[in-house]
Amino acid sequence: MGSIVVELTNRCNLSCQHCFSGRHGGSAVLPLDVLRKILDEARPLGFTKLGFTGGDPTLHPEFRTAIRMTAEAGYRYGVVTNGWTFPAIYTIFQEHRMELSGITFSLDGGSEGTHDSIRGTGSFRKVLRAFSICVVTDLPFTVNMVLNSRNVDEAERVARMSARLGAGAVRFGHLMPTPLAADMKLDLTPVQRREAERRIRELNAASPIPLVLAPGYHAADLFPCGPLRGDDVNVDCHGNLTKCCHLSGQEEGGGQEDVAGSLHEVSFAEAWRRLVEENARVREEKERRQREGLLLDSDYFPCWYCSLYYRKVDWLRGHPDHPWAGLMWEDAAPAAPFVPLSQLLRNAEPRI
Amino acid sequence: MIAPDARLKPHKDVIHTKLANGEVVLLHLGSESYFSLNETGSAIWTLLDGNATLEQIAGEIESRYEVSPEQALASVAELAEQLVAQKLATLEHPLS
Repeated sequence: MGSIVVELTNRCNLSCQHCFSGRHGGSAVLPLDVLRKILDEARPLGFTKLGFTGGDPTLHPEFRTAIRMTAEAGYRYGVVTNGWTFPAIYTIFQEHRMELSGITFSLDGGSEGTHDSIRGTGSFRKVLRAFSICVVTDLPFTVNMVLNSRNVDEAERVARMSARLGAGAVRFGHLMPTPLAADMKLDLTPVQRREAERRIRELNAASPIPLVLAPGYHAADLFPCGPLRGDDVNVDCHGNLTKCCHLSGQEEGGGQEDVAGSLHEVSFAEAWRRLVEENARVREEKERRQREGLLLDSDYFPCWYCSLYYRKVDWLRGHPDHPWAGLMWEDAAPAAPFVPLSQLLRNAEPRI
Repeated sequence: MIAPDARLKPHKDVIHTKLANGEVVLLHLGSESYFSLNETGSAIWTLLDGNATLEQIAGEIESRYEVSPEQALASVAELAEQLVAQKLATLEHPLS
């Protein structure tokens, strides 16, 4: 079994230009009783690892307690952060070092100017300061870079710098389309994405540390990632068990069919069961589309496929010049929209 | 040899981080190299503001630790030499 991505909060101290608007400036925090529910109920299903995201997860007011609870429950854990708060919170990782799989820092440029233009002034130095702490305190860390039109030419520099500064690996991910990123013209075209992927594979061959592509890269395999294989799952900061962190928080698209259930209302096992059923429908539909020759080459970018399937990018129809706008399906609605059972029951009218 | 009346300040390309135990870590963006300072070195580093002379810093170190004025000045001068050589600090006063 894979891992559970837990969005501890959608609070963020930054307003990165590529981020979902719902992922920054929010104020929601995951109650610790929901985290307790996850810890208690997920292990019997085979989950052994949690990955904390946000927002910036370290801004959860009870972040240290969340880490302590997770470690004491015997789970491995990882954290994705922009590094700003790291000097104030890193000692919790020292206290629970054995269970720590790693800290992932967001680095979106190989230069201060590029990174800060995307993430805000001072961000570059803040994240490198966090690197320093990890190196001298022996905390394992990796780097995550979201590729966009402004920084794609700096991928090599990020890789080289990260290796030199002690990172264990660099993960390169594609930008999820958002209206803000569209306005900033940050999206790469499909061809540019493929070229970036080729370049990263080439760099990896000569790199002293692994340079990997995050799920979302072009793949012949129809189910190349944890969520699509049914191994990984996401819990958002509202307590909803959802399919994937890449889909969660895309309020711009409006679709919420990726939500399997609220952990405030149902057990983890019940929400998981619904998601397994939903995954079977997704598999069936994607295989049908392939069988019938309906998949475009761009549909082999799995995050793009799911964004279309779950109607997260309907807003793109209002952006005809966007490089991905012409690649949308005519039948954008999923063949079998996922409606949680509880909603069906609530909506059911008695028949006479 | 850096003169006792020299003033140093952190190089603009240096990111310094103070750990919970008081130690300071330096990262030079140009050379992409880390440097860690021990307790005394960290204390000296935090006093490098471009205004205090090495002599004044040595006086502060002498008051904090049980060292002679000569030892304090020698330690401060030695660290200053290393910091300048590694481009971690810049001199605000010419070399004597």
